[in-house]
Amino acid sequence: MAQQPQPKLEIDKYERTYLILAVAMVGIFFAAILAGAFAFNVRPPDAAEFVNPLTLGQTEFTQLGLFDRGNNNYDLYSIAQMWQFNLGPGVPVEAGHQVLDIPLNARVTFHVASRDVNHGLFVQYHNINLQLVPGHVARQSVIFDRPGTFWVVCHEYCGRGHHNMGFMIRVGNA
Amino acid sequence: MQAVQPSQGKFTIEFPALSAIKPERWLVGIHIILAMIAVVVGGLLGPFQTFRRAPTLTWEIPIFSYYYQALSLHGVLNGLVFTTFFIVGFSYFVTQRSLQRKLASIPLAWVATGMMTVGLLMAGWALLAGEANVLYTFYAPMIAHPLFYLGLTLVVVGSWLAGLNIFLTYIQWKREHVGQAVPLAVYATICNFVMWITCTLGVAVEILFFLLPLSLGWVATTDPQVTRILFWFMGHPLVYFWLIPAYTSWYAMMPKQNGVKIFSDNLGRLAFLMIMLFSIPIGVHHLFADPGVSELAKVMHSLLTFVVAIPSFLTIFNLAATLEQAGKKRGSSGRLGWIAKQQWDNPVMAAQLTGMMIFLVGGITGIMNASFNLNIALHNTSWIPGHFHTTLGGGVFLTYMGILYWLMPILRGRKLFSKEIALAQVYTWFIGIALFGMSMARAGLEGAPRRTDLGAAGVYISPAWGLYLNLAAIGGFILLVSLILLIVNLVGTLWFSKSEPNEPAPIDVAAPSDSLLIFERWGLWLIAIVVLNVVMWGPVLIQGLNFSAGFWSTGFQMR
Ligand code: HEM
Ligand SMILES: [Cu+2]
Ligand SMILES: [Cu+2]
Repeated sequence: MAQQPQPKLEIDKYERTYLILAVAMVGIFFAAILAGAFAFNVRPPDAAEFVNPLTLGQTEFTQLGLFDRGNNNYDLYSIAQMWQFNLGPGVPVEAGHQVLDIPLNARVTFHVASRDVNHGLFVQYHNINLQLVPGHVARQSVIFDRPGTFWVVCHEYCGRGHHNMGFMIRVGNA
Repeated sequence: MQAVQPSQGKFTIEFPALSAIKPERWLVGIHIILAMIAVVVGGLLGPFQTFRRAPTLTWEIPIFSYYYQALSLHGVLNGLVFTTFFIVGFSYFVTQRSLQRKLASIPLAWVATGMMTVGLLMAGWALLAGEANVLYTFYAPMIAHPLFYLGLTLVVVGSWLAGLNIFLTYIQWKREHVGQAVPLAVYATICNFVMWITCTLGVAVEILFFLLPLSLGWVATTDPQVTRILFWFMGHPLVYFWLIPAYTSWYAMMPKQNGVKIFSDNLGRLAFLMIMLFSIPIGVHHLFADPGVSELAKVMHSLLTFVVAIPSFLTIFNLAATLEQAGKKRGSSGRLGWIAKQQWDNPVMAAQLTGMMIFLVGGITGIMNASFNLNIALHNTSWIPGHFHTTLGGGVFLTYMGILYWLMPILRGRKLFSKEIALAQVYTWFIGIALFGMSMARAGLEGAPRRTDLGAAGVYISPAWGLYLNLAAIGGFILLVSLILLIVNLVGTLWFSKSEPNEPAPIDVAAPSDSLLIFERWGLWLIAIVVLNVVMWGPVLIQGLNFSAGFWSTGFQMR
């Protein structure tokens, strides 16, 4: 059987203009994202190291808590497990929730690992959002530049007590 | 642009416009009925989830008082079962009618149906028995009963056989129609199943090599990050699997329901082709917060996600131009007069039109999610269910109802029970989803988490969330009313309607003469799919597997 002659792709002139504008818009959006990431340093976590969830006690997670590194830089080491964030000793508990005090304008690097199932961590109104996958260390830095009390919740379903897993961060002792 | 007269082949059947023939009635019917049962049962839980999460109510969910069991049912029944069954049934219908022939193998179709149904029963039992409180994403190392995984596997493998049957039917048609382009609706269906079969390979590997052995106790440990990677290899195309039938309705059926032609058939094909090619190599946008995926992969998948927004922008133009023609034909005046001239009083059209409107919101919020740093503010907050109830629960669900309202009467041989109830269902759904979606999204921006029993005792509720969670419950109530209207019409049409159907099946049996054949160069597209995914997913998977580390996590039963 003979092939029919192939028709050509015809694009309406308005549609072509529209398409060009749509592509340009998407391009601008993407450029804005890259600018946000690399000029303003709002970035998702990069791949960090593996860590065995069953032997966390023999790793950098031996000592948990907030450590002052000088110059307003802090490290927070925490283990997430069903159904609490272990923030180390000495964190006061108010109304049933741990309250972690952080100085105003502190730059805190979170280092968190899960001991059991998936958990999550984000801080209300701050640029930190971590998936805590057992087997990996999650790290992200965030600057606490507004005073107030913020809720930190486990945002990944982790079993019966999932909704009770969280703590508070109090910035500038507000 | 004129339609080619399709040449008549040996197997050509003339389908009646207002009734169904045997290979349709039961085969398609069973899929649609099971889909509707799933969405009614799963859907009814939704409003009670919103009541539970609203600080002024905090009511326990009836029957399934354990929140996460209810949510697992809601997610699996709506997101996986309703969709897959509806899509398979609809795809069979579209393929047979457009190509004017029976499926290549009716027995194969029944085998597939049997597998999917048995799978549904297995997974359904596990969910109802509380043996699968793992949500629809079943992230390792949580484990459910083995029957849950086996059931899901059967549903997926059944859907592969359905896809295979559709491919074979297409090949047979092609042999009799050399040099002719396939009708757009079938083109879309094939794209959908090529994409679906490719992407579900990921979850098949996840279940067969990771989850099932862990759940059976054959292995002691697993690697949660790798299972998340495999899951999201399927996870994003999954949403396009839901969307393509809705686009099919908009592109290939809505013009016919309006007595016009699609503005550009070829750009429609381009949209489906791009979705098929680009919906898999972007799934890392669900893993932006993951600790085992590199930032480079995150940037690259974010970029390609923006590329796959282009076919949706194309769709907006194409459909608006088509609807404008329809409005003008009905005598609209002025620049925007065509909008008022749409069939707002016909449930089949009203469902699609409101579906498109709400999907626009879904598309825009989707671009926000895909922005790899903006995602920090959104990931796993209530924003996400806010977003996907405007896409899946809004645009897709409403369009499927628009399909249901003509398809069910044809399959049942009886007119839709009540056009008025159907209209009320559509508009209440539209309003309910808009309110629900907006409130959930806003609560998320204030930091409210998703997948969380916010009504449980001792849970902290930030004062900033309260208002929005309560508003979401009002949306949930409106949606509950809408669901009840849907049930009335379903039951009414099945058993109480008397007269003959009056809404013809809107199926084209031939493509316009200027449709390009290059879109059907499947070999080329398959190579492109393989290359794209090896490049985009290969490094992610290898980094995740890291053969010297990982595989440490023991399983946790979620009772
Ligand atoms: C009757 C109207 C509906 C209401 C009020 C509703 C409500 C909700 C709520 C409140 C959640 C989130 C709960 C949480 O994160 O804690 C949710 C999740 C979800 N809904 Fe709906 N929903 C409805 C209909 C639907 C429909 C029709 C679909 C799909 C066809 C759907 C699919 C989903 C999915 C996939 C999830 C995610 C479950 C998860 O996170 O594991 N919903 N729904
Ligand atoms: Cu949790
Ligand atoms: Cu996605």
